[in-house]
Amino acid sequence: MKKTRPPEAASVSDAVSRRDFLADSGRLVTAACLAGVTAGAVRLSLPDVESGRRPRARLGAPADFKMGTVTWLQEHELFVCHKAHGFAAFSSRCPHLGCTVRRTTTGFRCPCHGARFDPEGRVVSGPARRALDWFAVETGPDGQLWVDRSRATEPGSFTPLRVAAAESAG
Amino acid sequence: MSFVADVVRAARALPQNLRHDLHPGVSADDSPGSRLRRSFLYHLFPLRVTERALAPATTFGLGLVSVALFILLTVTGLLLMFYYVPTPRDAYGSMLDIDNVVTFGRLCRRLHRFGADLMVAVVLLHLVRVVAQAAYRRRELNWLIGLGLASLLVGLAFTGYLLPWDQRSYWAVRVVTELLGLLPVVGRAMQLVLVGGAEVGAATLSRFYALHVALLPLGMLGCLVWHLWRIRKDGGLAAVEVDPPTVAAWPHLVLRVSLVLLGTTALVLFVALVQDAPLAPLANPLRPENPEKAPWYFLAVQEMVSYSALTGGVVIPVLTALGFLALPFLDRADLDVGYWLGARGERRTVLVAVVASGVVLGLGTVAYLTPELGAVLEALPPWAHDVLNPAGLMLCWTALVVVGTGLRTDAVRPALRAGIGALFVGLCVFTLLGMLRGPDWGLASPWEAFRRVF
Repeated sequence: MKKTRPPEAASVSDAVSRRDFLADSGRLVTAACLAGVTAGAVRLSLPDVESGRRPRARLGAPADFKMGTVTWLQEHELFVCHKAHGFAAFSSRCPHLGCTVRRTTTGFRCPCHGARFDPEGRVVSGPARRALDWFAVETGPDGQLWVDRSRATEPGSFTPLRVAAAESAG
Repeated sequence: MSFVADVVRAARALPQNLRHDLHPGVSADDSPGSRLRRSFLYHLFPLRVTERALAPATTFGLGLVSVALFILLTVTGLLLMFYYVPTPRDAYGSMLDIDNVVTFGRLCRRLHRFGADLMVAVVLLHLVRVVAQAAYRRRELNWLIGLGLASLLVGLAFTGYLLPWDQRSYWAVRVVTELLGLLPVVGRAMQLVLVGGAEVGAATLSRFYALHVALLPLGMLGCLVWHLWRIRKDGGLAAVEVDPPTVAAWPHLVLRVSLVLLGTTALVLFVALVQDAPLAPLANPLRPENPEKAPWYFLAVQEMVSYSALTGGVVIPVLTALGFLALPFLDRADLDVGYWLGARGERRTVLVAVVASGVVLGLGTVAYLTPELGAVLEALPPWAHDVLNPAGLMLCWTALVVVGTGLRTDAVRPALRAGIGALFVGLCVFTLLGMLRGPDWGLASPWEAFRRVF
């Protein structure tokens, strides 16, 4: 026996049928699951722990850096500069795209894309848009010279260190 | 004793039974060729192909050559995986082992390296062919799949570049991952996902290895099958003819396909027998070589980046990618689809635009390199350096060419072709210049540059 539609069904016939509702729900749930899994995979790919160096590092005894010289500390990727008015440390990493700059007679030069810097790391020409990064230098309780990468300083800002001056004079 | 007799009878009948049982639906007296045809080739190829599709100058078989190289690279890549060790400590040593200890190892590495170089070149030419024939028309989806394949290829070339862990690979990856960080919004996340930490190191090598040997090749295989299937679904090569003359796919198409596959393999094998694959000294994370040069297909980008990281490394690549994605949706004309460069008048306009681009971009770049103009530009504020350089000139000139050609011909297609031509000419100028770069990023004479390469 065939069931006839109740009269009030005519008003709801425009509404979504049970079949379509269930199918759409299924699609929605599938899409949500796929989106969740994708988001999880992307999140997993983002490393939670980044290997890298600590912000503070010991550079050595102040007397190791002779007055008027610029020393390249390869393992720290730093140039340490000792002048009459104190010590300074700046990065040997090119601010353009991260290659290691080399010393030239007029300052520094990057072998990857030709950026040139003056002896204090300011941009002379080439694709670099800012100077080499300068970091704060201080003497630790052990009397050694320390760098603090979390504290950036202006190019040309030397830290006067009395201990260092006495040692290098002696 | 009937057991023994049965075994003997079964053994005697084995060849015929095998032939019958392993090829259901094929009668035993069919020739081997016909079995192969029915069971396999007719699933790959259509029964008949147009005569035009078989003419060499229609496509130069560039897509097929790419498929041949994909197979070659998969086979040699799998063999190299037997010996390669993806850790910073052992990777370079395993490269030396492959070159010097493993029997046929050096040949295998050369095949893989030159096959990859050739694939980049052939896929680029394939793209040029499709643009020059407007073969993307009414094949919009397949054009997008093709662009996906091209970007997967760039990803494979780039990830494979790091694996030897030599000076070149290490610094190329350091530079490119720094560039990625400059991309707006997603750049920093992409950089972290690729590098796997703050510095390029063991985590980076693991990730690049996984991408290079699994994720990207599988993606490429999937897209390749889809790409080939779409060609048949779209009715073969793009053309506007009605009822063109056809021939049977067997033997005409199959013979030519076999010849292209064999010829490609022979070509790479020949190069691999006479030329050595490059291997720089072990990677030193503290000191790049001087100069540190990118592979030839990235030289133009390296040159542009040496003017401005933002313009050359981010703005131009992103705009180029967007332009290529939009191409079939901008050009809606059905005229001359499948034929080289369309009408004669249009060809001349495009040619004029390309030649003018060569002159303008060549002279502009030379002018930029003169000390006089350099001194003037140095006095400008930093933001001006990102615009007033040859890469910026190429961008503005290309836009000018597109608008100018469009207004002159009052059509979209010649405008787009002239624009792509201008871009291509610019990239050629930058590649040539990149080849001439020597120590301290100075310019060497062509002879010196040639000697450095060979």
